[in-house]
Amino acid sequence: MRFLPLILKNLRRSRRRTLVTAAGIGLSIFVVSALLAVEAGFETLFDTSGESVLNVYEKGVACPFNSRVLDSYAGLIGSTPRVVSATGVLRGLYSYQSKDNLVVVSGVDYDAFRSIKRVVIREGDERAFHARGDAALVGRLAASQYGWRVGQTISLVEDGLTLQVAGIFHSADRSYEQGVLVHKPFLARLKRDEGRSTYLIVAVSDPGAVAAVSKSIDGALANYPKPTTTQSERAAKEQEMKDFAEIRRMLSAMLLATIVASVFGAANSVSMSVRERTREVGILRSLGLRRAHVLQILLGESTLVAAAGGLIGLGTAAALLATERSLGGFIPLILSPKYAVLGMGIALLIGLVGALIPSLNASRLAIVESLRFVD
Amino acid sequence: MDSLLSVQEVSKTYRRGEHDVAVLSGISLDLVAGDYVSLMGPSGSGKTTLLNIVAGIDSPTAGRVVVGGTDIAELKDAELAAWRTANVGLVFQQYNLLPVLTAVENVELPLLLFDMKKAERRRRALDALTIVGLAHRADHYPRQMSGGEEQRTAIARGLVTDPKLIIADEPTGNLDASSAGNVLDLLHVLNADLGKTVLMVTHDPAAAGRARRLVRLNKGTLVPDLGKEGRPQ
Repeated sequence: MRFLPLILKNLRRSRRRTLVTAAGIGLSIFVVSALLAVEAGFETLFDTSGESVLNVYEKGVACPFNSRVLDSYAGLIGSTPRVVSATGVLRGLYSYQSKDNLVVVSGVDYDAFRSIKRVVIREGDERAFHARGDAALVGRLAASQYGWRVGQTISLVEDGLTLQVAGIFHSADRSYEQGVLVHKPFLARLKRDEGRSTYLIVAVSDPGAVAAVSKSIDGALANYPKPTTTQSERAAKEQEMKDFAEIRRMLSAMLLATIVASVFGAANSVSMSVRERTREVGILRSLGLRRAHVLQILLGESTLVAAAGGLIGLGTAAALLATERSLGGFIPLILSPKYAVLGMGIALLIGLVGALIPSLNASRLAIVESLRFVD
Repeated sequence: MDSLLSVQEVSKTYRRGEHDVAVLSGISLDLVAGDYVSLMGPSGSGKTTLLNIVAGIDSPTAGRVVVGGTDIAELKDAELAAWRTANVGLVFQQYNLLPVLTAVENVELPLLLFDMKKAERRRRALDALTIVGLAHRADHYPRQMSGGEEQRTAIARGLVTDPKLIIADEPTGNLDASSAGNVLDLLHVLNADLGKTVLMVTHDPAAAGRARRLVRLNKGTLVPDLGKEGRPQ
């Protein structure tokens, strides 16, 4: 770009203003990045593995962690038409190092669970998991969040839960990737919950039959000691996340407010800068620069400042998220590449939109008027 | 000789509140290639307005301005800008250099509009600075130069695109006698040695005396064309 040296020199002229503007946009992009990181965390919670998995909870229990169903239900459910397999999951909520770092530990029958949740781990790690009763498979997101490594011993608070990390697993269901899998009998002994599960997961052969199968299961178990409520996994998670819907709406509103405030801030800064240089705009135009050239220079300046601000904001957010990886230990904070690009795009948009009107006005001013301008 | 500049019945009226104020009324003026014309007149007589119209940075309310066969009133904004870069070198009383650029960068500025490599632009800018005797100040910023040097840098900038017409609006108005003499010497060289046509507004009779022809404006109209000594031609 032929005007780049002029743009850079203009930015250096008012260093303080350039820095303050970049810092202002940087602060906005930091807030935007943090909000987007929370949103990305929510997305992982909502990202479920297909519609053909059902969750069977105890009927009438509001908190999913307090639900208890009998393991023997798995055999009954397994004989229901169009059910491929069913297995119990016993869940416990623990904290790691700090009470803010909450970790969901799921006791599972590994082979049954793996086929439904499409768990992938290294062959050697699978053998190591089967070899020890206190072995744990940690989800890749949890491993990344807490820096867990294979072979490490981890201690979780409450119940004195000490686990040996046998492997790191990937799953089609990202919500499990934020937690830990252990042998179900091991966790059941610890929690004194033998013969019971928090819920059962059920694989159905036909996604279209989910509603009918749910009804069959709940109907068949209606007269058992613990009647059930069966819903698709997506519905269950949406139920879990219902309380967060308002927070997400609030996040969106904050995001918008931050962007709008930044646009006004950038516009104010560019307006001052352009006003001071009205006469120079006239000089440039008298030398033959067209309105489009003047626009290029003024918008180029604000875009560069905005880009610098974007990098400052993203860099600060990335540095902070490297140490603070979850919100309340439950919602992971993820600065995904997609949202980093979006954050940078928002920064550039703030620069462009904020500068557009003052720049257009400056470029449209008659040359003679510009040359007469005295600040 | 061929007419380089033909101002034909040019009028300019400004709207001030409820009233129209006529600044120029039916001005006609011809300059031939190689001419050196001084434009004099009291403040408010319309000198600068006429100069701005001829330079294409202001437009007439009525009349035509033909420069080198082109009626500049008919050019669109972008065409006029391109025409100005190629055909007119502008010199202002206030120098109008950009403070963030060095002398050579200021001179190079109009060349950014040409399809020209950076090295070629720099060479031409340095050549122009050499003509005005400021090659040694190429890397100095305006704030590091005297008024006379700034004005000579501005002349180099006006010269760098090799225009036919140099338009100077009170080029010595802000200078001491010595610097003013240098600038006038330079304009003389541009006219006599490089064949540039010069149209200069000045209040200074001594400066006007350096021109080949003197034109007086009064209340927006031309008084009879005078020779160098002020005699009717």
